[in-house]
Amino acid sequence: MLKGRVVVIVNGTPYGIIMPAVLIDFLTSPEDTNLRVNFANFLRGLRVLAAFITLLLPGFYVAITSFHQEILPTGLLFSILASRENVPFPIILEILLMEFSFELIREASLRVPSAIGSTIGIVGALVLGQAAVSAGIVSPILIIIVAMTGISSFAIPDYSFGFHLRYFRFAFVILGFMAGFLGIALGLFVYISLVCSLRSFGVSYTVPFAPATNSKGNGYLLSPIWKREYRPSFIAAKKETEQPHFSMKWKYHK
Amino acid sequence: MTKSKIGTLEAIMLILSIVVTHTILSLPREVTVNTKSAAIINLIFVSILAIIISYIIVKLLKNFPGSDIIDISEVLGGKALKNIIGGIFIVYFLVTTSILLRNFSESLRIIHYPMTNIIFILFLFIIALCSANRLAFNASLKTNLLIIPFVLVSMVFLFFANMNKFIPERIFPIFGDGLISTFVLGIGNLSSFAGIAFLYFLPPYLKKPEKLKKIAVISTGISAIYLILCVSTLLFMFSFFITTNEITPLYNATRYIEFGSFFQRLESAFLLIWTLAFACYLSIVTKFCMSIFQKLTNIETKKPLIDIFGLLILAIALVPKDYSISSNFETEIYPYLVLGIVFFLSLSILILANLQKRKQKKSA
Amino acid sequence: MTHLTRNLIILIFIIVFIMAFSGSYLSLSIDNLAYVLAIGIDKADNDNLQVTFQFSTTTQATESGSSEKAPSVVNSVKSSSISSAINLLNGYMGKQLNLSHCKVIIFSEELALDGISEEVYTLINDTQIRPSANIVISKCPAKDYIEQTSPELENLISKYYEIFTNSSKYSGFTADSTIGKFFNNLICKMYQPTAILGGLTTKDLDSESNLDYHENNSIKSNNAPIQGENGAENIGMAAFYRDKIVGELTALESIAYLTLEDDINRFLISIPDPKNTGRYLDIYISPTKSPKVKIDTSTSSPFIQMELKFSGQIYSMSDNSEYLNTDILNEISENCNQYLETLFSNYLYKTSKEFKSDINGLGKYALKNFFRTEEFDNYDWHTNYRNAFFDVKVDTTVKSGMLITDT
Repeated sequence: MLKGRVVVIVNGTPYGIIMPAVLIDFLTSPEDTNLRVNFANFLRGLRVLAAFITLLLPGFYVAITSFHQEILPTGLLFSILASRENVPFPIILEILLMEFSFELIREASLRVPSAIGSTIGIVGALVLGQAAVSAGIVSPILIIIVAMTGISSFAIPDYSFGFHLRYFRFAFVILGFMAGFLGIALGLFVYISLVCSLRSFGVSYTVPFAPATNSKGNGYLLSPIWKREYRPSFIAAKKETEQPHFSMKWKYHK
Repeated sequence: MTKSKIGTLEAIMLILSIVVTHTILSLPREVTVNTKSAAIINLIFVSILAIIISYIIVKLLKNFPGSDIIDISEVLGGKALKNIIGGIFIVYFLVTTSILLRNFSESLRIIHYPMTNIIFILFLFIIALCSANRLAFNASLKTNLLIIPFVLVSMVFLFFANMNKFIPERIFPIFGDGLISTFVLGIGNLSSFAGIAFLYFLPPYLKKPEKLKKIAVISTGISAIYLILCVSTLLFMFSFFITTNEITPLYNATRYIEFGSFFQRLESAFLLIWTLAFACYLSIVTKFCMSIFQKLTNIETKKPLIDIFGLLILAIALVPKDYSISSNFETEIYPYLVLGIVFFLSLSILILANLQKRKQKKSA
Repeated sequence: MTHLTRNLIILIFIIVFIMAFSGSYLSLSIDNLAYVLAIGIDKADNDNLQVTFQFSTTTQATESGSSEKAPSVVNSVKSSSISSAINLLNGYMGKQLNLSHCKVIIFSEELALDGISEEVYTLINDTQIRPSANIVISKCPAKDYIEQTSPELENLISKYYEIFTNSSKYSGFTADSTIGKFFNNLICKMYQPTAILGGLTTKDLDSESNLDYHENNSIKSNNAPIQGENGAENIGMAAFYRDKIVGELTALESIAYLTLEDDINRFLISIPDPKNTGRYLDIYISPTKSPKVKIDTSTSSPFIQMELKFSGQIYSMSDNSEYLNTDILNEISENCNQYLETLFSNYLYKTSKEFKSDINGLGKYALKNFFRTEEFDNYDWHTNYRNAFFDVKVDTTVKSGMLITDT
């Protein structure tokens, strides 16, 4: 609220609604502001990487192995070929199978009784993955890809944001299978256009990147506490400054 | 109906998008056909010319605040001239965009999809175009703003990654084919600054119209730097004495990048970024065409136009029977189109309108 | 239209597109491709070619983590051109051939004498070939070269092919000639192409008679005194005029070529020891600056002046060497200068008079003297290069030994 947003709390609901909410709010967590700035910015960079991996990694894998194998170093290519020697499925079927199994495990682990709740995660993942590889149904490299995608999706702080990334990655897998990098590029283009067209209570979703406004220290990366002087410009707050210019008066004003 | 407003940076990226997408194809090669090793000197000379011309255009547009070239031609010659000019611009944008799309899809097909019919690749582009055009006008501009910097960075990366294969002596002999061919015939290279076409349509959309001068000069400057970077990459890497005409020479340059034995053949990554920029350019041009059409015909919504314009682009892109015809268009006819429409025609309309206004002021 | 019909139409579109692009997918998917690692092209009878392809079966990474050496598969086809050879072999092998990981292209010397421009142009036209693939001219038939190559320290042959040209940076006995560079030099008016010279090792070290190895003068592939399991060796270079081979460079001449190309980090030379006659000193030389070249094109015999600067470090030591003494170091530097000047002059006159081919592209330094490309064309650099005069100045500073400076 001190940042100038409106918060709605209703008796009986555990959630509070904050508005307006823009893209960078969904990739940041409230604990960031209490850490040291360097650590917080490292975590934020990590989360952007996680978002990209969740959305695009399986699509890229399918596109590269189907159309663009020259981008792989020869050693890696031969490792992939070696691991796929005994696999009976084409790559697209393999990846869809493993991705759906992963989503099934995830959904199942929500409703399993808490006594065996933790073991389902281990049993499901390990047994399924290890057994599938030993049976020669999937290749080990694919297990790594699916596991990385899954772990990255857990790194996103907001549940529905992470969910939408999981949801759209299937579209990118199909696009990558269909037309390689061309399909993924066009899919990315439509996705970015969709994201840019959203508005949250009149505020553009991708502010302060597009339209390019002066973020005044409220961009994606955090600035040190003593520098957080302004409220975000898209709020159009009555009082723009949060704290005076020299907040550490004992240090700078003798 | 409230018009959506554009910020300064978005306007700059808008003008840049035309230059960027044309350089992906054969523009750098065209630019150097006449000038050979004097290409960089010629480009510096032509960029200075282009900046001066854009400055003149801004000055001429200042007398008609808030109106673009369609409104100005209405003031000059009534509804007839307005319809003619609007029609010329729509046809110009559609035809050049479709032929560009055809060339790009042909090169994609040759490189990656040899067994697919060209119509499917074109259709994919059109589907992406139609889906993106259903969103707000501002969405395309914001997407453009996000993507064009990546293309610029990719070109800088290409330049620096290939630096160890450069032979700096290729810049000599310094005047290439001679002074006449460098400075006089070389003026034809002004057609690479086709981005100025968008400058004529910007004034009604700007949030801060007083920044038009800044937008014009900065965007022309950045396009000049970008062009010089592309052309010098090609000039230093490949010989211009015996030209072997390749499709997409910059793509050829990306095949030489290697960092050790691990990162090699990164050209598909470049193609990804260039396809993104291309899709942005398609969507923006179509949106502008639809706005011009709406201005000419005063229809209420643009929704039905989206699919029509998409299919129109597809139809025009399928007109050339094979690649040689469309690439011929790009290298022979397109420069004259740009010089004629973007520079001569529009400048003369602006000058005539200004003269008319001055006459009216004098007689008043 | 309703939600259901809209989704149905989207589904139909997706299926149609998948079918449309599946042609390319089926032909390009990783499961259906056989990756060629090396291509060898020989001359066969009646203007035909014998094309050899080398594949590698994949290593099986075992449970314990160790892997065995991957055997390579070598197939040979007789046909009229490279593309028809690939076509023929596609029918024979189960998988489709893919050239995007081809690392080496080998032409036999016999074929290079007739001219290889057609094959090079065809290969560059191919979308799959990498421009960074190495081009080798082998003194033996290309098929034998491929069959005899067996890397001793790597499991995958592709690994060996990737790194075998790295030696050009630190020993200089061969260069990293790639097919992209070969093609660029072929079509350029100021350069002539070069390629790596390959051959088979002599299996018997004793067969080499009285070669004074200090001179290193005639060491090149097919007669280098090396014995090992790997049957193929790559020492020296092949010089071309246009697309025909005109001569070979020995190991030392390759060092000269690389220095003029500014593409070498350091190399080793043996010079006579000024203090003890009869003994030789081994010195590591590295270039400190790129070569400075000035060309005078006022007559039809261009006069080419060069200045090269090196720094050296003494490698061989004995028990009575004093290498911190500046006089001795100056003497050694003088000896280095003489040695290198002779080496470079001999090399340059060889390229000018014997090969008649400007493989170092010295013509690019002459471009400065002309205002227009027409004037350069009229000067006809390649014909006038045969009458060129050279003046090479070398300035070496030998610094000291390496870890030991004085004994």
